Amino acid sequence: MELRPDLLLRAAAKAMTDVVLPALDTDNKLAQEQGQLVLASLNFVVQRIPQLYRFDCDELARSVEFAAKLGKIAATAGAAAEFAQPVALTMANGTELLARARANPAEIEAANRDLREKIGALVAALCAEASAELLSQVGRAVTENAAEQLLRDRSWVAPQGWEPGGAGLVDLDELLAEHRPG
Amino acid sequence: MPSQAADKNRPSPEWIAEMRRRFPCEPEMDRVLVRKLEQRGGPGYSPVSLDALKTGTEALIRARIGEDFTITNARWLSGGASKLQMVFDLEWVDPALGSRTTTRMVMRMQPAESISETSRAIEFHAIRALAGHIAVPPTYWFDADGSFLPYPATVYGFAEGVAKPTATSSKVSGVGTWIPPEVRATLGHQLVRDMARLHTFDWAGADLGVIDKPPSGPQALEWQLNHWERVWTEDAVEEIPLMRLAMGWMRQNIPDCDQLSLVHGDFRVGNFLFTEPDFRISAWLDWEYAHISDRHEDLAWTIKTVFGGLAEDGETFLVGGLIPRAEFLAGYEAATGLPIDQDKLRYWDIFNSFKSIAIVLGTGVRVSSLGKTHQDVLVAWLAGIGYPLLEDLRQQLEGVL
Repeated sequence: MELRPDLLLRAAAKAMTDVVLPALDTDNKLAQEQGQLVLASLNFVVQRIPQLYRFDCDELARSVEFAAKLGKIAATAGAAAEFAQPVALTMANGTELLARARANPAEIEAANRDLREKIGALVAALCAEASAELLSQVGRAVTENAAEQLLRDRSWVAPQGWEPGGAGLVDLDELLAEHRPG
Repeated sequence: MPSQAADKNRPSPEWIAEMRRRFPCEPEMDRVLVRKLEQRGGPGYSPVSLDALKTGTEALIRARIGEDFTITNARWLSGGASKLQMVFDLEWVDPALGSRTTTRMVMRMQPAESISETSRAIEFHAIRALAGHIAVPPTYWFDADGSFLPYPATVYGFAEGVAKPTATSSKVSGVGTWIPPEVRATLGHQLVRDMARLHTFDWAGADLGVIDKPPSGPQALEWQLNHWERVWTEDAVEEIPLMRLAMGWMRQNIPDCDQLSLVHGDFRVGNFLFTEPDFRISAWLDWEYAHISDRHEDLAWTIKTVFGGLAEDGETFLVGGLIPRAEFLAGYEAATGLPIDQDKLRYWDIFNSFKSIAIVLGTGVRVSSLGKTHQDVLVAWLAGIGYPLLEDLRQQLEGVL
């Protein structure tokens, strides 16, 4: 999927810098200030989005360690048991989640692109050499796969309004729930 | 397929040579695509001031006609997703008049890398060849490789008119313009008339400059397939197997061609100007995709769903929002004496889908991610239409496989 948030955010920040901010009325201090803040916010988000998931995982891992350490202290002291038990339960949930959260999102994106590249090469080679029957088989496989992927791609860009009425589009959360990791 | 080590953002000379070998196309387009890749690793687009454009335009004109001219009233002109435009008045001795005069002109310049990389020379020569045959703006000079201006550019005469009725609305880049009912027939019949004139133009006897004259129909089509597969291969940020399937099918099912024509390549509402209130087409614009091909290429493009809409009855599809599809096609056959083949229309519809997707999801995403254009935010936004277009392509392929 090409229309990723960082692409649009970078382009929006560049438009602010190159076109919008220079066109603002220099006497309108509020517009000047807020324009700069919009730009700074966009640049902040661009910079931090790739790190957000890892930041959260890192925080959760340290919180789990910290909770374990604090739980031992509480058990030794025999105090605050009613508060220690919920921490232990939540910590177990956090540990389980961390066990599932192994891959970096950037690695998933790279793996997707790598696999697409290899599949594309195979499709091109099959199309060049295949008999009509094999081409028909390849064609069916490719179009079936594309139908599912495009349902998701089209739903992803639905807020842009390219398909008025959204006929045939399915809620993205519903589609993504089908392949929830773990 | 490109080698795994290929870094499309910094293409090596070896990879560029590989693209040229695998996808031979028209010499002028080959030059343009090579230039694109050679400059890709360079800087993105930086804002160019109006003064800089004026100075560059003066340098271009000076190189062509000497010192005896003055540029005044330079200002920006908006419109389109691919080029920057400046309108200005030129006081000069127009050789066509033989006297001193003031002519309003437009300088149209590409950015560092455009959503679709095209040739200013092709644009210039197509218009020059067609002048007097259909309504085109006068062309004066072009800067093929950015020798005078920051980037390649063309200078035209300013054409009066509007691209959409004053009282209307459209999505970005003129796509999906809604035309009021009372205007449709007048413009629709001119759309048919002008396409007929273009496709019956005697290109073989004309001076087309850098526009190559292919020796045969299959050669013309092969150049087009190579051109757009090359663009996809050079620019796509991520591979889409459906695109490879589409290209594989097109290469295995190349149709015959009974007659080659000079085609526009983007013949649709939004790419012509017309005057108000008489609604006469005053100029066809954006000739950068012009080439010799099968007329069905233009026909399939013009009647594409995305460029039209339904009439108020909710059923009748209007080509370009102007004229019922059946009326458009019948009118074209009557005006040209050339038959329309439904199988060829379907083939070229698939080709045009491939081309559109290569532009918005391939080149558009690549160049906006590299900050190469003057409006990356628009170019990036347009990527979203690539997915409905891919869905169209998927359905088209299911219909032929």
